[in-house]
Amino acid sequence: MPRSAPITAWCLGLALIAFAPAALSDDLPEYRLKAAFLYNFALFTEWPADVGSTLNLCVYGKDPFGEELDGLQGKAVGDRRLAIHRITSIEALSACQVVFIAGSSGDGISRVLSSLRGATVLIVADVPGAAKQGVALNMSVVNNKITFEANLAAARAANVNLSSKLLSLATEVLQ
Amino acid sequence: MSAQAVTTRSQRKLLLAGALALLLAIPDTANSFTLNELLDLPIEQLLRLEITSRQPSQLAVLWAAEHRDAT
Repeated sequence: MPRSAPITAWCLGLALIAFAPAALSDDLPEYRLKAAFLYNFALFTEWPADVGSTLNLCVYGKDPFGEELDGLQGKAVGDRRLAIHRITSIEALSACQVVFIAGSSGDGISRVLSSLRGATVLIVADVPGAAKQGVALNMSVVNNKITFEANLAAARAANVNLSSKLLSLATEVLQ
Repeated sequence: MSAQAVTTRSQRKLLLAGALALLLAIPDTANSFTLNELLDLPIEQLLRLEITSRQPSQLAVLWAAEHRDAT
């Protein structure tokens, strides 16, 4: 028994070293990754010249991102900077260039789409079927990975151009 | 069975367990990113990442219900 004690201690130590960092750092929450996608959506969207130097990114509804979204505050998107807003009133959405419809039912989406008709705005959601309803980019979780579908017609109607790269990565592009 | 043989077998098991623990830990550590790290990754790589926790969809349901009631 005394001979095996050092080996036992060595193995336990190895296991601790191996597992402890994993337990501490194995952390990729859904909405951290979705926040990164939101940033990329803004990055791969071409905005009209009359959009100013600030891109207002607005979350409408109950914010699922939490502090992850605050990490996007002030980030550069080409020559512009992101400004983050949490919005609870549909009327206030008219000042936004990117709108994420959070936690909404299909009913909520249709009201937002109706209020933003003709506005220069990239509308994003993560609600099943939202792209078919007219949301430009709609995220889903498939096998623990984020995928997204694009509605090209909706983006064009909202005066924004989605890059060919973004469209090539979408699981489905609605024309 | 001698005491020496038992010790050797248990040592082997422990060594195997330690090596297995190390191997299992490697992919986990590779799946951890801060938001700033994620923003530096190409979107193609973001598509390959696996999330480790999902937001309860109940939040969405509750918000939608509250919002409908308010209107």
